[in-house]
Amino acid sequence: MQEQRAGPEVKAETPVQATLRRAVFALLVTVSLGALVIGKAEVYVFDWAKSAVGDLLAPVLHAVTVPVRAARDIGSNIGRVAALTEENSGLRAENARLRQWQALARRLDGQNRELRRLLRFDPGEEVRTVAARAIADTGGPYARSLLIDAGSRQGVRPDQAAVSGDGLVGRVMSAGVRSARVLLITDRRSHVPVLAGPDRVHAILVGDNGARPHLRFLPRNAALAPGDIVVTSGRGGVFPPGLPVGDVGAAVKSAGGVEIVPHVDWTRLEFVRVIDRGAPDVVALAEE
Amino acid sequence: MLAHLDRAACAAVPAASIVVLLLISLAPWIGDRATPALAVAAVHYWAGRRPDLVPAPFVFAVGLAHDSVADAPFGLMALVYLFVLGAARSQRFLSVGQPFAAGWAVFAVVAFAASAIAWAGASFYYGAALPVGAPAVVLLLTVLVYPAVAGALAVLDTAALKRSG
Repeated sequence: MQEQRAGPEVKAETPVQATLRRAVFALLVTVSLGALVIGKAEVYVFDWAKSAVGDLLAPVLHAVTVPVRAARDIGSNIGRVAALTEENSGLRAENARLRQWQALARRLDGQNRELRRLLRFDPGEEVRTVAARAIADTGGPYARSLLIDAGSRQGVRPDQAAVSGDGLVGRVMSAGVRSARVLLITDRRSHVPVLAGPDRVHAILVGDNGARPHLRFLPRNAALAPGDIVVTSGRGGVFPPGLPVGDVGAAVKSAGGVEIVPHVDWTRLEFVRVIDRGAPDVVALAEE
Repeated sequence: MLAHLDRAACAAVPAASIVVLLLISLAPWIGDRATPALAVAAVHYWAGRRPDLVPAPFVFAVGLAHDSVADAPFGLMALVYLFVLGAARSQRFLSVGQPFAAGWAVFAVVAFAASAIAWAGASFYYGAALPVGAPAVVLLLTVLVYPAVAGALAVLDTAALKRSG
């Protein structure tokens, strides 16, 4: 086995320098421990500091994201070349099925418009969306969140829902000027009111920092089967109703509740849309 | 003047490489899968090789930046990086100038202890014992990737040593 080269000669410290270095080290360890203990009390200055650092590093993270994504895509594309023929025939079949669904959806949409007009139905709130790129994620074991490159300047505010083309991603937890943090539905702090299955039973989707969140507070007589769809219920006002979240997993009853397979493919999540429902910013109102 | 700038640039190599590896590990490239703690490996390497170029305040700042971007409890990763720095410095005689396997083993022990500190700190912060599966995967990946990280940093180290004469 190769031997590690001996390191360069490090300048010998005087006793004063060594004492000073140790004192600084001890001070920094104490500050870290203190921040950890004080942060437990949800001190907002730490949230502000996190947002400020996120804003500061957003351009750098954005620049790093591009080559890293390119490298990832090259790797994954090489692996896919072999399966292209099979994937192509599968996509053709899926395309044919989707065309049938598209025709049906158009017919129903027309019918729906006509019925709404007859009933003078109020379509409700205006919804605006803000598109943003994910510039950092926390694939770490202690939190599941994304940093996105849109903040209050683009109209992103805390408690707005974030979605991808596949379904619900999470909600905005904090917003800086040009970046915001999205708490994913898989994070243990995430609680999403949902409707599950054909009977549309109410439940709360709770994350556990794993890949699959769980349904909690289900009625005892709730009958759910693998593949049943789960959508947001709209209760609580944070998430608009009807957003697709995931499907009931194969392991229907696990120790922590009913397991859900999210629709969002986390490995391919590059852009999100933040839904601005025009709700007033309660924090700003309180400050006024 | 140029020679002075050159020496300063060489002296900044350890800090710059730690920051770059941190940014790479935080980039959204493999979704919710675990990523190795590349910056921990870099701090350990440089704290053994060039302890004078990795001061504790810098490592503390890197830890706070990590906490901020990764949404970790504030102070947690700062504490972890400081631990790795202190451990690598104090155990320098076990890894530098020894067979590579010895240095790797020392890193594995330090990384395990750092992982345990992070798990205990996060469990304390969230008020519940967190699952150990995900931290164990991160630890395993970090230990496995250490030879590649150390090899790349050794190339930088050699280049910097040559330039600084």
